[in-house]
Amino acid sequence: MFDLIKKIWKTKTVTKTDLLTEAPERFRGKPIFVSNECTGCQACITSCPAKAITLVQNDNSSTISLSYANCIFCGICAEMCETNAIQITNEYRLATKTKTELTVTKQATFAKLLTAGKEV
Amino acid sequence: MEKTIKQWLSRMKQQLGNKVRSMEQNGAQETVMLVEKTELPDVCYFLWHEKKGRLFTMVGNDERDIHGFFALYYVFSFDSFRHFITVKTLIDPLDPTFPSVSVQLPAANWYEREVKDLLGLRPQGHPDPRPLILHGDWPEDLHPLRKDFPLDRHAPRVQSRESFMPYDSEDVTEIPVGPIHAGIIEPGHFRFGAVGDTILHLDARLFFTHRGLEKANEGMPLEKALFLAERICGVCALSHSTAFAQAAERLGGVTIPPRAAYLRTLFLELERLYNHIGDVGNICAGFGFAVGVSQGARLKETLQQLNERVAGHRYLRGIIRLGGIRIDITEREKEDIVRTLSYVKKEFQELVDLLFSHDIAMNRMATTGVLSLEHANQLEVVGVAARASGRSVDIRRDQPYAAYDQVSFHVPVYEVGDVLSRVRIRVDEVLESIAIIEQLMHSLPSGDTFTPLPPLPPYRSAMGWCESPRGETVHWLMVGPDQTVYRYRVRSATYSNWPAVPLAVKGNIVPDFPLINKSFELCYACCDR
Repeated sequence: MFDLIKKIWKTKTVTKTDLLTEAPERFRGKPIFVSNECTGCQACITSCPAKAITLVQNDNSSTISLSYANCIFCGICAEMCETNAIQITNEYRLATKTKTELTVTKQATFAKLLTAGKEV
Repeated sequence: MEKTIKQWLSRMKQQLGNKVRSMEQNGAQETVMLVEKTELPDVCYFLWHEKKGRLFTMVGNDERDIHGFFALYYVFSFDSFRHFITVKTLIDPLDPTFPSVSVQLPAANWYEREVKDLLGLRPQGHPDPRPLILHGDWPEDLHPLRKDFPLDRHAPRVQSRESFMPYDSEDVTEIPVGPIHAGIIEPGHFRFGAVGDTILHLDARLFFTHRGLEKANEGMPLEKALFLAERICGVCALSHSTAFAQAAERLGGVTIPPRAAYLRTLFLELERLYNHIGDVGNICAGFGFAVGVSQGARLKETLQQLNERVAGHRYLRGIIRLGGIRIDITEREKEDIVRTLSYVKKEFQELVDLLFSHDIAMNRMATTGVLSLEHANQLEVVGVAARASGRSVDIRRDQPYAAYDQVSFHVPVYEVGDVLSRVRIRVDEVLESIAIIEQLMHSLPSGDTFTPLPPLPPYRSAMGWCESPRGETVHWLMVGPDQTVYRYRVRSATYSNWPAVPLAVKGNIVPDFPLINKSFELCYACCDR
């Protein structure tokens, strides 16, 4: 009994208050588009297990769109991307005020995307 | 050793005589015996009873579009030879029956009922005709693992055929519990037949979370199949992904680089650590010892945060890739692991001292839920539950994988088989795991962490295995001609251990059931798939 009380006294309460800081460096959080190097090869789209990345094709422009609402933060897209146009960050704060803000888009390099688009 | 295995195999062939149609090697560690289905019970009983092979897994496969037959594979593990013998038999689709092995070999019970449900191959003479995987309201003539059953087919529900043990005496009270429980646990329906407070018999109805993962995996490219394999279970995620990757690597004849093997071993031990420490804490909930629960949860959290810092994921997902590992560690992570583990070791020792010196805790755990060695052997129980009952099986030692042949460790075995023994096994294994990690830290080789996989041979099978925190997990894999999964069978530790729980519960009081159940710490998701 005395041991128990000593242990509780030593560890204080079990619920610890941690300051809200950055997630660990290696934590797989929000993926972002980082450069203009997207070649439109669609490797990220086909490899995404949650189908969070889609190709939006308009008449004369094409964009790749990523939805954080569907993303499961596995990091496979970043691993597949040959030009590192998409990368994983350790950002975990994802709340937005509107649903539309959960989707980010990126214009793909036009010429290459057209050929890729035809194959689909 | 090589020579002795050959001699041993040819001696076995002589003893079995013309019961074996052919015998061929499948990789370095497996020999496949083709037998007629009428000889199946004799050959299996011979391997199990005479030759002391362990029934490792059993797989049914629809191979009608390869050669026109269904196939059954009974895999036996011979730990002293580090070799597997697979008894294979072909079944004509016009007569989809086979003689049951279960009467002589009780461990085959579930496997054969599963084959009946999912492939429509009927084990004749099987003592239990009830459905297992698919519940009684699933149409009897629909078998989802057959290749002609489309993935998106919706089965109509029929009048339920579920039945439980009937009791004639009015003195027996039936207590149905679940599938929805008070705590946040997985679904299972338990029906106790109790006399007063004492449990006479327990019917455990599982497979509420059968998601058809094996069917869903068929036709998937291997990378996606690995991704799905990792999601079979939350707390053994790494064991499942490692087992799957090993099956694919064995099929491709690839040896992963030493650094990748060491890192896999490291993370597998980290998985065992957070599970075992969390489980020791959770056991305390079985008798309301709140300090133990909180301390266990606190240490588990410390370890999961370590996982997050080192691997990027608290449950160690997404770190295995086919042919190696996706992440590497630097000096900084090494220091972090050593520092955190030395803290956890000290704190865990204090928790254990508190628990084992607590009279009420000891009173509740000792002699509760005894699983006898005889039952454990007959049901081929694995993992913590087996070792607590005096059955010394640990696939890390018996058939080493990753870098387990490079480290020395002791496999704790207790004889009593009660809740306390199972807790003691976990406590001992925590200390062993920490010792293994210390050895790995000292001898971590440098070099690559990945070898690319060549195209895999179609319609050949291979197995991958792993000692998950709950016991050995086996993944059996066959790849089709287009490098996608043709058949995939997961036999998790819980699948082997669940049938033992009703035996351990018998004769105990109903309030002890949660404690006994927790001491086995079986996962439903792994079992149901």
